[in-house]
Amino acid sequence: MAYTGMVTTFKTIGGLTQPNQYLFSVENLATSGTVVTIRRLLVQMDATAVLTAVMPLVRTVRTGTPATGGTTLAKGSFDLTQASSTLVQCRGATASDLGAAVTLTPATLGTVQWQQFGMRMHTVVGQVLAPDFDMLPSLVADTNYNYKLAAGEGLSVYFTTPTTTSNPTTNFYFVNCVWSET
Amino acid sequence: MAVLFTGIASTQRISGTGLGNQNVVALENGLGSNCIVCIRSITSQLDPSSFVTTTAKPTIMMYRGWMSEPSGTGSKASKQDGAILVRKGAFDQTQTSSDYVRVWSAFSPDGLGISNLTANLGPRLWQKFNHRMHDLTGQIVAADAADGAFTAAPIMLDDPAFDVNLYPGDALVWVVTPGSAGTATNNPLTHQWLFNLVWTEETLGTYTISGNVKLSGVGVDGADVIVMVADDVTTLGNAYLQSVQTTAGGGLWSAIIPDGKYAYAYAQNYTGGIYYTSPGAPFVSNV
Repeated sequence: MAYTGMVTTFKTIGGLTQPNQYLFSVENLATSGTVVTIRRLLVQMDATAVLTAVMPLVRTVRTGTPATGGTTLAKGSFDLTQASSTLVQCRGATASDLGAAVTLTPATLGTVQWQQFGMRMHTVVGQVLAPDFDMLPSLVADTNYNYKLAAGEGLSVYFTTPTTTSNPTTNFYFVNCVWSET
Repeated sequence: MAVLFTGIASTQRISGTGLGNQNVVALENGLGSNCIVCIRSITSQLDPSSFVTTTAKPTIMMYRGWMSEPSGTGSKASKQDGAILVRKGAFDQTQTSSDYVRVWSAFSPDGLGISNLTANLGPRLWQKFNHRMHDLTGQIVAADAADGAFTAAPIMLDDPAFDVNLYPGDALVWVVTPGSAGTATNNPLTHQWLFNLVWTEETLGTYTISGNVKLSGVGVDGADVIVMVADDVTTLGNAYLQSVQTTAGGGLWSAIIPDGKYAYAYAQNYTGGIYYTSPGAPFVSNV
C-alpha cells in the first residue's frame, strides 16, 4: 500500500436550485500512474427546518477528470511517512465552513453508482441524529471488494432535489472519504 | 470460482403503488450467460411521507425467481412489462459485465410513475420489515446501510464463503409487500423507495464444441453456425439461442457451452445464389 489518505469537506450549505448540487469529487488525473481504491465515502447532514416533502437524495456518480471549479481540499495521511500523488485531487464546494458556494462541476458524468436518502424533519422536535450515510457500499472497506479509480477516472457526490423544497439553505452537509493509492 | 466482474447499481426512486405486492427490483443471470452471479449486498431505503398505523410495516421480501423472457442479449426494456433496465456500474472499469446479467427495476423515473416489474417468483428466501411513521412528527431517517439495518438479504453474503449462486436462467426478485391481511394502504403512493445492489460475476465451468463446415468436401468460410442450448434432450427445457458462429480458416467454428447443458448446432450458407443448409448435429453434452 503506497498511501492511504482521508479528507473531509467544509460544512456546506444546501439550497442550490440547479438540478444537482455537487458536494465533493475525488479525481485520479490521467497521468498519475496510480490506482485509487475508495475505502469509505459518506455524507452527514443536519436539517434545521421542517420538510414534509420527500427528503434530499444523495448520489455517487462515476466521472471523468478533471473537474472544474470547487475548492481543492487538503489531504490527510494515515501515515505521515507516506506521500499522496499530486495527481490525486479532492475538491469540495465551499472554501470554509458555511462559506459561500464555489460551484463544483465534474467532468463527464458516468453511471450513478449508489444513492441514499438523507433525512428530514417532518416536525422540529426532539433529538436530531446525524448517522453516517454511506455513499458507496460499506463492503468497499473489505480488501475483497476493491472499488477502483484508474488514471483518468473520478467520483462525485451530489445532492439532487426531488422537489424544489428538498434541499433548503437550512440543510448542512459534509462528505468524508478514505482511499488508498497503489 | 474466480471473480470476473464486480458490479454496482442503484435504482431510480420508486413510488409505492397503493396496491398489493409490488415487484421492485430483480437481478437476472440470463440464459446464454457463461458466468455465475452472486449477490453481495442489497440495501433498501424508504421515505414515507404519510403515516401507517395498520397491521404491519411494509416488508421487503427476497425470492428466487426467473424473468419472463429470458433469452437474448441487448435491451429488453420494451419486453419486460413494467420494468426498465438499470445501468450497471463497475468496481473496476477494466472488467466487463456479461450482457446477459441484468438489473431490472420497476419503472418509476424518480418517483414520477408507478409500475410493477413482471417476474416469476419461486421460494421466498428472506424478508425484512422496513420502517413506518405511526404519526408524522420529528426526524425521519433513511437509515444507513452500513450496519445492515435495512439490507434486504443476509449481510453475510459479502463473504465469499457464502455464495447465493444464480446460474444462467436464475434471478433474484425483491418484492415490497404492504403487510399482512392485504393492507395495501401500507405501501401508498407517498412511499418513496430506493434500492442499491452489489454483485459479482464468477467463472462457470464450460466445455467447447466445434466443427468444420464443408461443401463438396471443401471447407466453407463465412457460413453461419447456429448454436442452440437446452437443459435436456427430451423436453428441451429452457432452450435458447446460444450464439451464431461464423466459420473461418477452412470452415472451422467453435462455441463455449456451460457445463451440464446440451448443445445442438446446424449450419447455413448462401453462395452462388443457392442457400445451403446442413442437418443439425445431435445434442451433445459433457454431462
